[in-house]
Amino acid sequence: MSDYNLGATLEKDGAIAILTMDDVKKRNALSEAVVSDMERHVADIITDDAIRAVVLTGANGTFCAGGDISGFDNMDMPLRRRMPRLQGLAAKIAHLEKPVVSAIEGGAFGGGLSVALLADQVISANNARFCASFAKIGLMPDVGLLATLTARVGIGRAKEICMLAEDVPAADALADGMVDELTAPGQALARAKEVAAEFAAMAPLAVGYTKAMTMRWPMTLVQELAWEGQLQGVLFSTDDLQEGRAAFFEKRKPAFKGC
Amino acid sequence: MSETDAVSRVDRTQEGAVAVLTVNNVKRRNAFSPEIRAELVGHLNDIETDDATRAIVITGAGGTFSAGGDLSTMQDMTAFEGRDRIRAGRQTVETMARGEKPIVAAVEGFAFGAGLSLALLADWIVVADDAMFCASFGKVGLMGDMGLFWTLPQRVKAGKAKRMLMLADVVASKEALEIGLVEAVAPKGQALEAALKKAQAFAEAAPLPNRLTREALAHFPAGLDDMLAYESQGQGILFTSADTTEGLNAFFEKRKPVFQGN
Amino acid sequence: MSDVAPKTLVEDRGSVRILTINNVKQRNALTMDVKAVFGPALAEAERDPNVRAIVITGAGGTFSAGGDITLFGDMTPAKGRHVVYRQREFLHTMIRGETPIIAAVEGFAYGAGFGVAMAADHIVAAEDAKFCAAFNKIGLMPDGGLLYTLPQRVGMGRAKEMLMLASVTDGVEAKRLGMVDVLAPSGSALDAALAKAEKFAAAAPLAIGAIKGAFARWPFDLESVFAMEIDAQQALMGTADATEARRAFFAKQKLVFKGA
Repeated sequence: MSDYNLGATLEKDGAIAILTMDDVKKRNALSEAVVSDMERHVADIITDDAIRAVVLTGANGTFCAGGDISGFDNMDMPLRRRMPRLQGLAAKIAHLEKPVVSAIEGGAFGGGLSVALLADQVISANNARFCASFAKIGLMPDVGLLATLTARVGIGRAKEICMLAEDVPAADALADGMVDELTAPGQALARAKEVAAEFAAMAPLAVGYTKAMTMRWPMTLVQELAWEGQLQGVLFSTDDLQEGRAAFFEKRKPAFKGC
Repeated sequence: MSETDAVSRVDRTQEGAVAVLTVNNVKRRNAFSPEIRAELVGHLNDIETDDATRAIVITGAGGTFSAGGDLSTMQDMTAFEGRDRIRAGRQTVETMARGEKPIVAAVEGFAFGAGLSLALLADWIVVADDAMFCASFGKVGLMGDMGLFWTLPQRVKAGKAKRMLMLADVVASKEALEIGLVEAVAPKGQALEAALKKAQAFAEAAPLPNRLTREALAHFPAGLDDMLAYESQGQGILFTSADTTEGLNAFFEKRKPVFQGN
Repeated sequence: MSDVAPKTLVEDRGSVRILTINNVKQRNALTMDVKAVFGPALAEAERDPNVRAIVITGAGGTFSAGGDITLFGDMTPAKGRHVVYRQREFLHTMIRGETPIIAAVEGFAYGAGFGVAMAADHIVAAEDAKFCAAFNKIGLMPDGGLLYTLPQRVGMGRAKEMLMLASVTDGVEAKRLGMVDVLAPSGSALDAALAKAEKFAAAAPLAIGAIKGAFARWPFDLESVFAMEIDAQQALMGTADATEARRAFFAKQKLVFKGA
């Protein structure tokens, strides 16, 4: 099943959805085509209960070149509309209550880096490069990077990365916490699928609610206690908890159903 | 709830100005039960107003810290019953987070599930070199509780924290130290000794400023102006304490200060 | 005649301004004399559009020993609160300004001196620099913004140890913990800081200002960041610097940002 895709493709492989940005001419920049395809596919993923985890990646040996700056001057997507649109997509990805794993080959620059860090786990080829390139063209980081990057690398390093807009090689990105794992070149997608499979084996509601909590970081104790109470309350009522308990006592792997 | 005997489940002993609280239900690997919760909170409340105690050590009996919530008590319940169950645990979290005396955790063996949450409510954590940590909630279809989503990201960066919370990764002590989950590693069997040493240092520090500091940091994460308000207001009430005078005198006389706590 | 050397030395190197705390006899303690000069010098540097980065350091091989404890014996609660309250202005200038600040730390950064270092955007420390929230030793609590800045940089357990036990952390350990950003051999923190400052100074000033301003609003979650982006990015897109930078990007040319 492949419709006419200029922007992003969705492949379903059992419980795992693979969402691939694909616009080779623009190195998978967040063009109108890529963004609208992604919106469509994310909507599909949200409603497909068979999907338990998502891999986010880019075709053609690169992840995503970020905002489509060739469009900035033509105003084919005027900034007034572009920002809320991209943020809307980012919010949908971030609030997707299914774990997301980014797989990065080549590099993630500008808005591409922002999109990569919306994931729960970031897997990168060891020769990839990263850059919060916004400041190079007189802009500030967007699509949530300040929040996601600070949570991953701490404020000191986040400031340096955002203000100086220097290339960060993969090894530094790993040491900083920007990415979680490195692979040999060409292997990021395969490893991301393995990590996605780990996520897919967890109880869907529990992992979804856990993700939802982490996406509200940083939170105060008062907020944390209120939300944990409500969400855990729901989880206490589920069949999956009883399956989890039974599996524990019977010393076997649980088979979670998501209810 | 099977046992109705009057056996204490959280023992308190005193080492000078340090109160040691030992979770003691070895048969259930110190699983965190309502009885343990109630006793722990009771002790903490006593300690809060006990002027002879300046610091607290929390540990587990029988060579393990705590295996977490007691799965055998989690039969079918409604969502609201579940929420109330969590609410009952809130008092432990709030008492530990908002108390004014420093807490040092000594972890041998396992700190799993609510046991991990409990350890992370301490200010400073020392662990045995074979100790293991796991947000094991996820393994049975639950999520982290007892304040874990507040405490964990204060110590561990988001990438690793997400793996721990979402995938229930088991973290061994060496990695725990590297990622900042804990502050120190001691040889097996010696975590308590190391914890007592650290608690003694906390006990000898000036108590009043630390009460205010701990209170301020319980509001983490707060904005710049909020924290500046804690600083200026706190410093104001500290300035004419006897301990400030003692501190200044000790500084100029080049000797160790002896703080009375007033 | 009393010592006439200014309590803050001001030197420009290109668009980098170096502010040096100069009270060596008192190990650069932040006395009234020092604050009277340093505060305005910082504010002035912040206001000056030709200053694109500020380096803060201490004369005589040490950063700052902290507050002036000779004053502490003669305090009332209200006076004490006021002294700390007055730090607010200075810390706001450091943290909420638009010019990136790089601290170059040699020797001691104790007490409020530790606070000044931590309030910088980028911190360079000599390997043998010593950081200490010395407050507890004289019965006081940490100030200088440390309750805000320190837990942002190091884990809460380490932060509490430093803030409550007044433990001493050297440059090497500070780098390991992420408390400082760059480690330099003893004696070369300023050189390393200047090299970094040049990079900050060459960046697009309005973008830098917006980024720094956004970080100053920490704690922020994803939603808050989205809101900040909408406001700031709109303004930045319309600047001459941003338009010029896009043109230069496609033409593969280097650009000197004008700050407009």
